[in-house]
Amino acid sequence: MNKKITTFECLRWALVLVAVISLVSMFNTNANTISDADPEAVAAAVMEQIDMENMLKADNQLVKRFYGLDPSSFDACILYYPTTNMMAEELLILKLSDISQQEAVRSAIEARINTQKTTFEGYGVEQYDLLTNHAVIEIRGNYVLFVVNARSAEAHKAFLDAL
Amino acid sequence: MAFNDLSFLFIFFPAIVLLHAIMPRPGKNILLLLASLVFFSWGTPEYLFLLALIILFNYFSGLQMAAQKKADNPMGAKRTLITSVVVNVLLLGFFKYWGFLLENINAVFGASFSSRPLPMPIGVSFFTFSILSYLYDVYRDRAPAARNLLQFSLYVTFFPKLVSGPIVQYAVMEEQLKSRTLNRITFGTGARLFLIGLSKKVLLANTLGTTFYGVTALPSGDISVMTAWLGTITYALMLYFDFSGYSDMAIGLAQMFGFQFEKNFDYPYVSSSIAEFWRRWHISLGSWFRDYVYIPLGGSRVSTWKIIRNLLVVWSLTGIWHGANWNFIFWGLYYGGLLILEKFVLKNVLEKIPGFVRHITTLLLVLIGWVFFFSPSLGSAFLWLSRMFGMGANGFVDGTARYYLSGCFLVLVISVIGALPVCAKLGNGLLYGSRRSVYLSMVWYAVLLMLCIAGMMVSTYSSFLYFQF
Amino acid sequence: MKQRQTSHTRRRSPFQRNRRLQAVLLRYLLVGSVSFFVLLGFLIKDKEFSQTENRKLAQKPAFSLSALADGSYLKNLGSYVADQFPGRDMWISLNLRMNKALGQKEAGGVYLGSDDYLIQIPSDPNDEQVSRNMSAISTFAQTHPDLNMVMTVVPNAITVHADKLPKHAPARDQLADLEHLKSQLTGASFLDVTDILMAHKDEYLYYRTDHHWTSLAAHYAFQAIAPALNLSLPETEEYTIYPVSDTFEGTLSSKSGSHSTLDTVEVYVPQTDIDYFVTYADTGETISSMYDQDALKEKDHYTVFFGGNHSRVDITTTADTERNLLVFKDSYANCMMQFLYPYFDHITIIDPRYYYDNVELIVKTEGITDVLFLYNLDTFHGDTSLADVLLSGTEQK
Repeated sequence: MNKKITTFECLRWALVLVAVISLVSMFNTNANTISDADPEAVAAAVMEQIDMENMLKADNQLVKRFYGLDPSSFDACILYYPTTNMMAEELLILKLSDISQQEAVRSAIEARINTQKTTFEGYGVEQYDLLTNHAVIEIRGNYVLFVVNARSAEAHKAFLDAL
Repeated sequence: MAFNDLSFLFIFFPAIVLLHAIMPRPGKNILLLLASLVFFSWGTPEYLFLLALIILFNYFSGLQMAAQKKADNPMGAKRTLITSVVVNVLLLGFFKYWGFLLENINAVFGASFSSRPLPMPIGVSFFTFSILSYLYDVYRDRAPAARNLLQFSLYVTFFPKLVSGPIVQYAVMEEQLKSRTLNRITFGTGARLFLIGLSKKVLLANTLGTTFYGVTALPSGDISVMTAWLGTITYALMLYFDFSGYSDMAIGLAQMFGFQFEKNFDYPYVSSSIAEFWRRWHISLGSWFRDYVYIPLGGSRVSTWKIIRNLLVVWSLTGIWHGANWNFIFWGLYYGGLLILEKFVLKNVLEKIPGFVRHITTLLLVLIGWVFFFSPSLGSAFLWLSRMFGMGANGFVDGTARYYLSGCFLVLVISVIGALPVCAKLGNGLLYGSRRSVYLSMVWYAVLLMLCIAGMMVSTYSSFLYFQF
Repeated sequence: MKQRQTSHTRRRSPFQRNRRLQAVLLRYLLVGSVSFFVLLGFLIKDKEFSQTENRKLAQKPAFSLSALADGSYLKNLGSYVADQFPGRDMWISLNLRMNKALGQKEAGGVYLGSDDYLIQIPSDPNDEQVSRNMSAISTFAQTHPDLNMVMTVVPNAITVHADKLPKHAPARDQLADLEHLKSQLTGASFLDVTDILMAHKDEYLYYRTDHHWTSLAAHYAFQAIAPALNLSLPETEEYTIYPVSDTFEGTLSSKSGSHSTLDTVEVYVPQTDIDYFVTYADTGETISSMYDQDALKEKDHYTVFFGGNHSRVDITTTADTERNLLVFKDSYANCMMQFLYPYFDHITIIDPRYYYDNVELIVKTEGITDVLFLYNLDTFHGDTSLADVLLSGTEQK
């Protein structure tokens, strides 16, 4: 009988241990892994997944205008925007210099999506659809991806794989 | 996924009903468990593994307690109980109160811990309470420890009660997990409850919601006494129809699959005392706290001071269970305080007061309580209350109040009647009076269902209120 | 038959018997109607686009294990069912009908006004950004003292058609908002067109189903703006008015789900020999008309003016007045250009929401003499791009 009790006791604490490990790992993957990946390489991996034909690389001025963020406060900042302004596609990759920037970046990107939505609401059906259903914000540790594209899911996956 | 989502009613529900009907009896529990896991995954699939760990942990805890009891080791059993409860409560606390805790630590010590909290697993407040009831029932010999892992898993995850209760105690459900009556009558009775619940939620609660959200979004300078009362009353009715409707749907669904659960609401707004209100509002939560906190602490069979302590413990827990926010704690303690007053100070006075005065006072106190419940912060709650009693209000009644009142007047009338027991009496008389009226009642239910589908179509974005708890 | 039944259920009261009967029937009702819609859903072909809601509908999600694991498959399946539900439009209008019958007077952020008027409820202003825009305009005006600058912010239907609102409906005080804007502006003249619009409030100034103003309203506003721009109007202006559509159903219909009326779109063609052509910067096209006939085949007939919004549009005319106008605008300005073009050699129209280039360059190269800021109040309150466009030029100087 006592042997049975000990077995249960061991099983229970083993399960608690596994639960704690799985929770901690979720907590980490969700927020705080620091990646040393090369920003250019990450960007290249993402761009391989999406059609970049009508996209232009933006200067720092535009980063500030789009998001109200200061590009010099990041380790790296890559923004592509569409050649004709009637498109809603967008690609932003940031390498944060500190993960405490995460929240500010997230709200800046969310504000950008909302602005874009009001801009296209009413008549830009295709663009509005892209912004509502094909916009991805992924903040993984020190890396940030924001992509609006029909193939955003593939881009998202490529981004995660590249980290 | 909520029961009032189109995807529930037109994908999940028909699939489960069909499979359940063709599945031979021994397989029905497996089917319901799988369905429950799919239901759980619909919201937070990342926690499926964790859920399995939780179930296994508590399964072994029950078996261990049973073995320890058999080996005549009550201390050991008690230790197992305590460690298991602590693990479950810590887990619930981690998901529910982590952010709140950090926020308050930051405020007090001026620290700046920042952590994006993990999303809450669906129904964590409810299934944790179910598990706690299991552990205590086994410890107290109210039920035998579950040997059958399938049945235990189904008890924890059963989809009708997973998301927002009722919190069914293990001792109550144990027999039904083994065998239950299944026929077209139980299914039909369940279907009726489900339809009524769906209508309460979609037709009444959501419509009242448009007025409530419109009123509370007004700038605070534009609120007249009447507007403030309108907001509070629509909220009280909306919350009742929302939550009791959802409970009805849950109980009805469970019944379709052969489970009999007790009702969770019993016309709370006709109560003539606060104690009665809590015997009629969210009954399964009230009795859970009574059976697993209040009575183990000694209940009412101890000295007056200890009773007061017990009541305060129960009610601060009730408050914080509803959400990690000072509002909810205050709201819980508000009820604790009222109950203490009712039980000790005003006991003799209350008996002499005429019934209708007691009804009105109770209703008033409950309405004031809801203000703390719906306000985003304590400060705004007091601001809203002061508007209700004329302080800083934009007159007694203004155009805005008239606009909102005229928009919801009919719904208010229907809702008030619906919140009274007389409604069910009338309904029963009308609907079951004769065979013909039963056939005619089908038209009524069909119309309700069609209106509900229309309401669900529009409110693909309006989620059920009690999900956050 | 009857006897057999009574003997069978002898021990039950009539009440219980009826309850049992009801349970049996309800089972058929619930299972039957759910199966009916599920089967119907399988039979009906999926739609790409909803005309009434003016948006793309969700399509059947592709199944994959990873999509199942991260929850996106089931989530998308939910939107798919809702979007492709048999008779979706019918259900939505049934709901609107029920709400109306219950006394509701708004739907989806839109007031259901009298006279079939749908009136957009304006959103609260983004105060910080509004002051930023206003000070950017003032700064822009001060750096160009030689240019004649006029700013017009048009009130919305909620103000001009206030008498069409539901009784006691709360509405923003847009007159106070306009006063507030005026007080923040220096260096340019703020021209309020409220009075002239209010003087004609019984006329067809705003579309019933759309948030835009009509060409008629723009025409009245033009008469107020013209003196501020120093335009010498002829004694009698003559326009040929063409009703190009009487089947226009605009954005407010989509938002509210109310489809009780259709609008008429008119274009005003000045009777003049002055010719013009329009160049679109984003496509590089040059077209000899500002009216886009193809737009009338689409959902939004207001886009008959220039085919909608563009980052930059240039109108070159044969007016020979030696005046060049620069317009910063939102979509309200699209139907104003038909009145303005005969008075300028060249008009450059910038929509700051889509425009990323340098404005100072335009001022120089196009020889700008006049500047017009033309917005509607609701859009201006939410605009986040005007200041950036105006400042980007001055900063780089």
